[in-house]
Amino acid sequence: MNTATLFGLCASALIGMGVYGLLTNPQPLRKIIALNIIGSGIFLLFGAIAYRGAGAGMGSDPVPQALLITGIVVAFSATALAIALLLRLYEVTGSVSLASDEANPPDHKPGAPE
Amino acid sequence: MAQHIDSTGVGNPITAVLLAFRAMDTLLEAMVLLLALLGVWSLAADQHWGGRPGLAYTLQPNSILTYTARVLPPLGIMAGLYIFWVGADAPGGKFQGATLLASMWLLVLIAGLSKAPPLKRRWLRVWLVLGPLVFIGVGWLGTLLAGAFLAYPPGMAKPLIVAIELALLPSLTLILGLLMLGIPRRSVSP
Repeated sequence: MNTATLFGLCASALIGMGVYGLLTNPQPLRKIIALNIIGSGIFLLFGAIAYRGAGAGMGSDPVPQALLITGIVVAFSATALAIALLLRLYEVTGSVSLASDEANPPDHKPGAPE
Repeated sequence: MAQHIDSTGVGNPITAVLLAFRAMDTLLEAMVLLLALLGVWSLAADQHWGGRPGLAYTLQPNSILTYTARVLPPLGIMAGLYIFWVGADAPGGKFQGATLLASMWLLVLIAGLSKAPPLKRRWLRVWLVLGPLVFIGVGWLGTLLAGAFLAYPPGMAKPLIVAIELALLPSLTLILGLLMLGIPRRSVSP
């Protein structure tokens, strides 16, 4: 197993963990974190692709690396917006759950410790 | 890619990709950041519209946080500017430099040494859009002089890339810092 394969397998494991978390956790905050874990896996995958595509006297292929930087910034801004939405949801409804109120009463009241 | 890198005058292949071969991606990336910031701002409650973002931090003069916030920023700002400057020829660049500068700003704010500016301040908004506007301006310059949007005239690539990076650095620093601070929660006066 060479280095690129090892990185690729780690990336797949991260993406798998992220998808599992995204599907099984109902809490929005955990979904956001799971989405970021998927993102980390994809960034690692891009790193592995860049490493494997080295050629023409360069240490690694710069095109995937440049896309990687763009991706990290976009993931950051999306996460910041998602967290802001979640905080606003908590301020307005007093709940951080996406479940409807009839089925699941909110387990958090405003002012209660997190 | 390796054959054309010399034409950009930039030594770091990643910077060359970001600002010469895939410059449109980088422009749209800056736009995404700006749009995300607008999205966060638009979540403000009515009475806090245009107010100061984030929580009010009180200064604790003897805490280690205050000490760090006084000692670290000069070093951090130097490191951020250095990372920004070497981006032309080595790993680094505007996003990495702006991240460090923004973290130093946030450190000072969290320690309570300074207050976040109200979002309705005009200078703040000018600085926020300056970087993307310079980027678009250079793009139109390419349309006039080189025949395509964001194409650099021969021999002008390096100075134009440096100009874009220099204009984007303060904008990105402010955008990243303000994204971390989040929704406006206080009105302008306190």
